[in-house]
Amino acid sequence: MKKALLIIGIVFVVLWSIIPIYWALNISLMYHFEVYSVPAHLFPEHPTLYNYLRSLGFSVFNPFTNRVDPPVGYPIREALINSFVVASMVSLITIAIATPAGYALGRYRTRHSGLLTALLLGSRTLPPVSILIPLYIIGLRYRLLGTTHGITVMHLALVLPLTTWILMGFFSTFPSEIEKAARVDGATRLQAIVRVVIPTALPAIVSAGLLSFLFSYNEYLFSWVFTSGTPAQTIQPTLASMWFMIGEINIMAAATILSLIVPVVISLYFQKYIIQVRLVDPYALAFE
Amino acid sequence: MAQPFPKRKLTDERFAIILLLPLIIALFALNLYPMAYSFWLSLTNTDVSRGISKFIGFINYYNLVFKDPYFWHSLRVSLQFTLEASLLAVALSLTFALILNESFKGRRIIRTIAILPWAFSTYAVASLARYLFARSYGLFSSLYVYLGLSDTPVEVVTSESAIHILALLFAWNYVPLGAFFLLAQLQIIPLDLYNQARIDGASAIRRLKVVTLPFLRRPIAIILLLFTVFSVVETTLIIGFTGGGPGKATQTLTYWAYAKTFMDYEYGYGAAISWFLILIAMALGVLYYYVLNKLKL
Amino acid sequence: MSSPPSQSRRNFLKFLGAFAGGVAVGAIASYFGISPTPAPAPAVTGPSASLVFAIGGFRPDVVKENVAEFDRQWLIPSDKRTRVEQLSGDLTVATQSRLAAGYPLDIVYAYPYATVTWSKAGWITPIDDIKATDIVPYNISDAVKEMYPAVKEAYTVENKLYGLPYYISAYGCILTNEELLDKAGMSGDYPYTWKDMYDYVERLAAKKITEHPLLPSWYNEPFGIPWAFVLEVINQGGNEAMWEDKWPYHPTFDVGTLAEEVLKDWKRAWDNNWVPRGVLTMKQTDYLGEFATGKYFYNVNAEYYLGYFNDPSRSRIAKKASIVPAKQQPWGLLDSCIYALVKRNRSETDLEYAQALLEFLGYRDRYGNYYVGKRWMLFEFLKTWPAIFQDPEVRLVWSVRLYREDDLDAVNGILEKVMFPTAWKAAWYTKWNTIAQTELPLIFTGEKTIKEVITTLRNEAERLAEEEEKAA
Repeated sequence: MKKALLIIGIVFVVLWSIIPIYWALNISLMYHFEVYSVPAHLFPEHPTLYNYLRSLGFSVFNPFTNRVDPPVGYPIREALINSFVVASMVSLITIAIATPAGYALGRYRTRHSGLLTALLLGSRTLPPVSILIPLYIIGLRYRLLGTTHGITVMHLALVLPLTTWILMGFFSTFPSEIEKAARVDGATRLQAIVRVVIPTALPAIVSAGLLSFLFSYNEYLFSWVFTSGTPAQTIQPTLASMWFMIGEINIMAAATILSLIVPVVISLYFQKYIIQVRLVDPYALAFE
Repeated sequence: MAQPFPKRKLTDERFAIILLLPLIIALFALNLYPMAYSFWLSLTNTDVSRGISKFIGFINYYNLVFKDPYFWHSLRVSLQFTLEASLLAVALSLTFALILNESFKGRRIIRTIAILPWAFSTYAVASLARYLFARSYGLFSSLYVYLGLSDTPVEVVTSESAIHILALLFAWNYVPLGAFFLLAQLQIIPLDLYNQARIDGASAIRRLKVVTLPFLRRPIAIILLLFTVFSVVETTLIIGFTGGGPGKATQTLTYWAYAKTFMDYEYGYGAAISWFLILIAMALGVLYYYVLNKLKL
Repeated sequence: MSSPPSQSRRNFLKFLGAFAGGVAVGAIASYFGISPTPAPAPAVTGPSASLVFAIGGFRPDVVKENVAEFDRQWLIPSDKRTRVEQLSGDLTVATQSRLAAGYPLDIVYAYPYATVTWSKAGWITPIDDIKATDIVPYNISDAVKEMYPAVKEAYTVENKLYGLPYYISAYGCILTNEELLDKAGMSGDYPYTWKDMYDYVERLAAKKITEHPLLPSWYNEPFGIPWAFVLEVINQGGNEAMWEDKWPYHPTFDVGTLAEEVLKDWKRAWDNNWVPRGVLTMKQTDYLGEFATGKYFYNVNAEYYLGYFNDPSRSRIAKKASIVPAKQQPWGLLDSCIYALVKRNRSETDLEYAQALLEFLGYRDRYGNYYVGKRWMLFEFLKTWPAIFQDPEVRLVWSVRLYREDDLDAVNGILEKVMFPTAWKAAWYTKWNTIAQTELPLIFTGEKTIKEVITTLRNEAERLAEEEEKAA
């Protein structure tokens, strides 16, 4: 009885998680003519990488129309590269700022740390729409629109509070004995941090960095306002623009699947991390 | 070596402030200043399409609550979405956590699969859902045909179902987060307690009620509040999946703020709606903080 | 006759390569036949600083090639090459915020309403008085004679013209699926008014060949269901059936007017299941893909999409998608955009170069060819000037791709008559459009009656128009 229930449960979990991804994958492996079959085909009859190749900028022969179809008119490859560059910059800068700050908040109680934590928490609950317009005006003034570094700055605005919060949580449970031992041995505070704290905290810092990376990679609204239609366009607004222009559903599905590769790889890493380290606040892991 | 100035002692406090400085600057420039700016905007009639921007006090707020024919509708839709989405997400998180906590062959792989939707962008989730729910190329509409329930594919997204489907999508995106958080909590429950209960002859359901749930009360409260806050401010999912439609069936308050700002170019009025939302979200945030730290749930 | 510079010929060959090989041969042959005499090289070489052209995300590759050709034809020195700046987000907002901030721009894209505000703010300059000089090839007054009437109307503010066309489209024509019509025995038998269309749809529905005979443009976008309503009313009753003929365009539509008739037609189509339910939640890509499945007789759409529906890699009705000509009633509303000239302090020479760029982009090149317009027509089926329809290459390339060559003339005829919704020159229109987008679907879901919806839409239009009048 219990075993049967468990099996049903497992099947449910798997189907729930897989079906939406499977369906996009299914469509992405079809030629256009097959997409609109009635009823829709559960498996591609003529599986092909045609859509992926065209998405990535190649001309591909289509045996059903007997012609060579040109690459799609969307800069998908460029958008993936842009997203990767932006997300890398975001995570590096975030770590550089959030590690010391998280350490300070987690380790020392200062007069204003309560206010700061409240701020960190509060900024996560902001509807993104509310700070978008002011930041757009700032972006215009400092010529940040349509540039890779511009969207990096904007993502910092969103990611910094989040990452600091995670690291603060981590450092507050971090045993201070190791550090104290180092201080007793004559190391300054900074030396203690660099030599002892950071190496020990490295897994947590790397994780926080990866989270910032993922956040930046996944963010849509700011990316749309700051980069769409320009050479700096990142992947999310590119996906969105395909719903508005003459997209082909099969090509769009391929582009969506391509955009999911990075998140899937990162989630593989985190599956281990969440279970093992157990300290991550769900507040920190939720994003766009 | 001579010291021109007396060396000031680096106290913990000063050291902390030095470490915090970059963060404080960034928070001011990128969060607080924009927030203040947006509050100021909400007190003006800024409308980019007309090229006007004049201070008008709290008139936008007054108009929002008393004159806007869509405000109460949007608030009601927001409420419905928030309730459905957060409750569904919590219920499924708990179910998933209990399932994934059992030991069975291939658990690692199942866990790896279960976490996937967490990492996906909201826009990607909306896109995946559009493929899934479309009538012409969607799975569900054709499923009716495969199961012999209909001769032709069925329209799944209607003005009645749209809001429920959105709640489902929200849950799809956030359940892994809740489930893994609860899973981590489940693993710190001492096994002895279960064994004791088993010896006492408690059934599986009773064990769940007496041993497991008391341990999960606080974590569940945390994720419930989190999901509530996230669903209140959710915009991208609605933009990507229904665009507020059909008609105004899924027009939540955030979507209305988005539409006023980006479709009508009324930055002042849009900011006022956002600030209304900020107040709601902040109230929930404070509640979250309170539950987390003060109330020893 | 001398031939055009080899550079531009090579370029032409390159872009023609994108098309089927057989077509290219014929096209090149005719291209040689029309090479005009080049104008004398300008005495001054180049503006004092690079010209700047602000664009959106649509085919930047083509735009950059166009601009490079301008630089070649006008012998712009390499350090003064015309710069193309790609703007992010909403193009109108992006352009407007830069104009307001005084960014150095020369040519921008403008839509009808933006033309009104930007001209009033003094950011863009009227072009009627541009005269031919050494640098500027044409008098604008000559160009205006060739212009489609609706374009002139849309971009004239206080009797001054503010730009030259980037693209012109008739949104809201009836596209047909000739394969199905043939099956129904009704090929060549077209409805020529909207009223007739619904009767034809009824006849087609009775034949039970498809599930739904009609795919109307009621999808959930600002240019979906609200435009569908406006265009059906003004096509049948003129602009006066919607609003007064001068600013602030107070509404004239009401319960008991043509507007109600239109919504009754809609409701009839919905209740009889002539249209798919799902159209209300479609995005544009879905909407296009849907007609491309070949399951509908008629589709209300922009003539622009004939190119898409006749493309075999994306459509099942390739070479079978046609269009109903405008024989009695005009079809559609003018969906368009212009190149506008930004007003700023420039020397006489710099101004002339900016004017030359405007004419090159929006009219003709130094050799008298519609260089840019023709490229857009060949690549993307974007229309600009009537004469391009008569161009032999264009006819050759598109007659191969379209259902029949006559469709080109049908499109040209539709553009001659296409209507500009005059209220688009008022600030309130976009806000009303958002309201219409939410209200109109309610007649189908049964939440409101047709009368209620019309009353709401009228009241809102009246309120917004009054507000605008008061604010001015």
